[in-house]
Amino acid sequence: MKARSIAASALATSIFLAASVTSSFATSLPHAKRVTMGSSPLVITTDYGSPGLTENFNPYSSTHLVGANYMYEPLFMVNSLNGKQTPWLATGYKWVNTKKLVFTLRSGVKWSNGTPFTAKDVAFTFNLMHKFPALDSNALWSVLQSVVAHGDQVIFNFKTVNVPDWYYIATTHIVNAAQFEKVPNPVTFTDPNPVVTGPFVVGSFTPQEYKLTVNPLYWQRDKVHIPAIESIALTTNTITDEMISQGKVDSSSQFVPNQNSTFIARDPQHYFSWQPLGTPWTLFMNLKQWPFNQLKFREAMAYAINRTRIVKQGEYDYMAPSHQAVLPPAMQAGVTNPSLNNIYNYHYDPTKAAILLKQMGLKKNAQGQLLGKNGQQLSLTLQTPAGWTDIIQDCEFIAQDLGKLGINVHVETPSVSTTFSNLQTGQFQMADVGVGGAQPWFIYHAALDSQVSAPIGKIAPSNFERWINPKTDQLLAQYASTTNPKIQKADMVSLQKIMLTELPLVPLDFGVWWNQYTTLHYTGWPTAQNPYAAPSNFAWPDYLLVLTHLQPVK
Amino acid sequence: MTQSAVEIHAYSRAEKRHTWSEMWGMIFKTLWRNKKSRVGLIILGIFILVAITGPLLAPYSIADTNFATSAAPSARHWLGTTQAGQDVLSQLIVGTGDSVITAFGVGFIATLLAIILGISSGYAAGWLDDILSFITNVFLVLPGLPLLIVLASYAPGKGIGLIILIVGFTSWPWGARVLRSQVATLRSRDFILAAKLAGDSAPRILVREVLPNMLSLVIASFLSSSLYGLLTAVGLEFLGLGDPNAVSWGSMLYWAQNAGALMNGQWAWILAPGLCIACFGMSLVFINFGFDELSNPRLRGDYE
Amino acid sequence: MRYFLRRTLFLLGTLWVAITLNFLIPRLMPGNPASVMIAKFMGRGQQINPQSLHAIEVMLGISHASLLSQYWQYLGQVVHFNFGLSYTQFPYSVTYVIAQALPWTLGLVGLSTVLSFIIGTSLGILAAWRRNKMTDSVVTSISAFTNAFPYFWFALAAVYFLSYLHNWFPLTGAYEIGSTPTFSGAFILDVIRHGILPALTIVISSMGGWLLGMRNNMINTLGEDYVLLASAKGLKSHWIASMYVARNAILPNITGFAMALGFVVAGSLLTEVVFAYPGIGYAMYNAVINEDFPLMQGIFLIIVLCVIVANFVADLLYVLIDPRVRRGGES
Repeated sequence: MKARSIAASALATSIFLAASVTSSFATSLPHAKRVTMGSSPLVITTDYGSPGLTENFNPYSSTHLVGANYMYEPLFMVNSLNGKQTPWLATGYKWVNTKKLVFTLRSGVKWSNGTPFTAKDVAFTFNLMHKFPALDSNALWSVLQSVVAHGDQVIFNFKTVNVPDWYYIATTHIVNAAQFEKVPNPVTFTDPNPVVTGPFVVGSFTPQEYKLTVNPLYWQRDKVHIPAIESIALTTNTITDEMISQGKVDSSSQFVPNQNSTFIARDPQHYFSWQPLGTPWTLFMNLKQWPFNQLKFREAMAYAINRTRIVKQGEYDYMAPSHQAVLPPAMQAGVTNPSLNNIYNYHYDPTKAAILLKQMGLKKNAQGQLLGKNGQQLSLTLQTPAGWTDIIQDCEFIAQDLGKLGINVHVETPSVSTTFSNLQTGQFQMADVGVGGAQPWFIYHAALDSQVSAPIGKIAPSNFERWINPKTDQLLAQYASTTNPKIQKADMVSLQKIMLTELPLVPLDFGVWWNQYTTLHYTGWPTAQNPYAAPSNFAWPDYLLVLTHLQPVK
Repeated sequence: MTQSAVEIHAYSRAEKRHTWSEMWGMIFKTLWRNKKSRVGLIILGIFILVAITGPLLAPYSIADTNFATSAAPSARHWLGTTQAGQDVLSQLIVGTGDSVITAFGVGFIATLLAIILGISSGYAAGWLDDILSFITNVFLVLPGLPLLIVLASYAPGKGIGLIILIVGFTSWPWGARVLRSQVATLRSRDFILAAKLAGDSAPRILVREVLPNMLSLVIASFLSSSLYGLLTAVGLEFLGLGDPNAVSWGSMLYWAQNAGALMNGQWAWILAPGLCIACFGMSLVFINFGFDELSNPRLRGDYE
Repeated sequence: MRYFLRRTLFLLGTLWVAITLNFLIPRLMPGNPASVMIAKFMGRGQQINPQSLHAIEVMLGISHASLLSQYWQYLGQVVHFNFGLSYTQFPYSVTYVIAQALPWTLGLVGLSTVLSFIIGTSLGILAAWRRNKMTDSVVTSISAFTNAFPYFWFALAAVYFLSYLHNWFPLTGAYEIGSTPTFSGAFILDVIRHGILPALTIVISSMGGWLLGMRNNMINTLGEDYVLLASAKGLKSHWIASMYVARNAILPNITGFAMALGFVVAGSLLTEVVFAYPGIGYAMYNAVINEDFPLMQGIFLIIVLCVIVANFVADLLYVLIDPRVRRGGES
């Protein structure tokens, strides 16, 4: 494969020399037209080709092609929107106690090379991550003791109790032991011919596109009505937007500016976009500094920012203003207490914000500037990475909102790595970044746990604002060490209350699962009425559900 | 490539000695007599005027975000509005200031370095000349835009001043080379030798005798560097390596591109800044036509 | 011989400066490029395991050795064209990514530069010949304009109007999506079809410089004594132009052309970005926005190398064209 693409580019040079003779020749080659038939391949766009795709289907590689997600499968399917579980390679699981987890595997599943899928493959997968820590991106072996195969079961023994990590175990890509045993370094392995349990296998690969063809041995073969997937490399945003608007792809997951007019309006019968809410974007404040260590100041921030304007004018109205409880709405169902959210409703109210600042003892001068401790105007910096254009725009709006209160805010846009390095070491005042997590506990853990924080100058993995609170830690730990849903629910509500009353962070808006699709060739996409999966084609493990739901248009 | 026009100056032969005031007068007269450079001067004058009075001319404040978002051109907004609800025409007018400052800032830094390095190299001769020429040639060969991209992507800040500094410090070698060869020819002129014999110090000779006699060359090199500076800065801003919060023609193109302006029918948002850049640049090239003829009488002939 | 020696020394000196700059810039600037890759590995909002952190550092060759020993090691790697592993296309090497991209740029931009030179120079001769006539005025004014506008802006408009609205040209890439690169006639035609629009925008926005330069050289040479002598002798004007003037006037443009060929690899960065053309400029742009520092530095060195070598070759060729240089050494 590699040799072929180098040959292809070497070819380009000689072709251009030939072109000098025929530079005036007419451009009469027709565009490759797609046949609108039930058997047409599913055309998607999801991987960036910069400048071309590089072949890498190794599911452990941080740079693997999204196609690996359509071939390798997890033990359990977990809906990224609402956490709903569907048995997949495993038919069930059981916590024997909080330190012992047992998965029972599905029988009759075959690898694409015809060999049977067994518990040995699963145990091998996890032990490989132990052997090569660079593969263990979720740090599972910081809590695991051992993983062993036992008949059609796999037993996970924990050295540290961590019930939420079930999610990472359940959604790990399971690889074929016989294949990976022979790989000397699985970290740099590019896996050109994956042996998989999933619905597709690699068909062909070029730097502009790769094709996956249906796996005839797939255990749910009857549910797959797509003969092949063609994944076209993403290039520039403009060109991608143009391709999407011409209906050249069936599914894409892009931030398309003004997509109602540039995409959907071009064929409202067939072009759609359902973008459910996801990652909360939040205002991080450095709690080790005045005035952010003052609760009243944080409350003032929560009232001072016009979230509706951020969403409407900064985010093309795709997103939604977020609630102080920080969790996306779909995740809150059955987890938090909705009436609390109504009591602590931090809506846009600059007058109230001004009153809170006044109560803090902050004075204004004749020019209406809010004065800091030194008698000068209170002047703050707000960071977000360069290139995140919509977020930079949001930050400008925040700066304007705070400007109305007499606070001078300077928006800084260092590079992505500098921004995150600043956040990790606490070298910032305010920042607008996302706080991710696949499930509610992960979000609260990432945002609030002192375990993932650090003193200023030391690297904090995610609790950048440095919220150090024993009560919070105890609640998070208690949730993680029990399988009792009642205790877990009570813990979540207590954590929700901390968010609502202490405001360690000020959430701004919910990001969305980017999504555009057409019904020209396939129907059965996830929608608001039937949210069976997160709709983005890079969503792991959700998109396997989509691929087993789609029906060709007759 | 515009530098090739400047390089021509190296061949010119200013036989007579000129003082500062004589030179300024002569330059302006010649430029005004030449049709193209007159047009260039007028266009440039308009841009400078807009740059100075920008905020007063603009129909709305650029901080005003209360308009409809992503709107096409209309009577209220001649060039439409941005995705954040700002008036594009106001941005274009106010952005003239930063753009002109960027162009001339780069031109100034580059020309200053070119004068210092080029003139000392040409006047000194010997080993100093060898070293300075080597440095000049090295920087001449280093590819500008990629070097700038590397520098800008590592740079801590993103302000307009930083862009001016980085572009300015990498765009002097062409000017230095041209000025050096001109000084080398002037060095043996009678009036310079006379000043040397009279015991004048080297800096005094350079400022009183050499510089005024190559003023046209210096200005031409300044204009070329300014054009190069503007185009380079616009390129960097378009790639997102500039200050996205500053309003300039380059950052307008960046935002328009990011908001998919063309796809949404907002062609004016993309077209207008590009046209302004082209017209501003064209005015500089036109003025340089006059300089070409000033230093090279053979090019003259269209103003009888 | 002395000339050759001087040029070789200059070649090596420039190369050394470029390599050293490339080594120093990332190390003098704040921030830790390694954290980018680690962030990519960890994914946002996930935990960092100190063990895996170290494993990744070792794998990427991130060194905590002294600057001097790092420099020594770096020089050794550069000599072997080993620029490390790309962050964005890990585990592929920087060399691999460059080898994929370079031929496309050489083809597209190389050809465009040649075309631009030929057309620009010819029009320059025409303008000088029709000096102060309508043709001259129109041609020089237009080229002053095209010379001054940002070429990526022109490319943006061209893609939108010609490719998107009218489908006259393909939207993106170097060949039709889905086709497999081969030496077949159909594929070659396809590559040409994809190259026309990017090439056109490069030619239009760069030929103005050649035109103006050639026009000035021509007018300059037209006034030389031997030309005046030739016209006095009654040679037909057309004959003088082609035989004497153009041949001599083109000399400075030829060196410029050789330089431009060296800048080919660097010159089309923004055009490649707009057309998503899979060349070296687009690769560099992607390296920059994704903070793929090893790739960015590798590409920068390759670009410098092309420029320096082209410059060297141009200098040597110039000796063949113009014997006067042999005596003079450096200009």
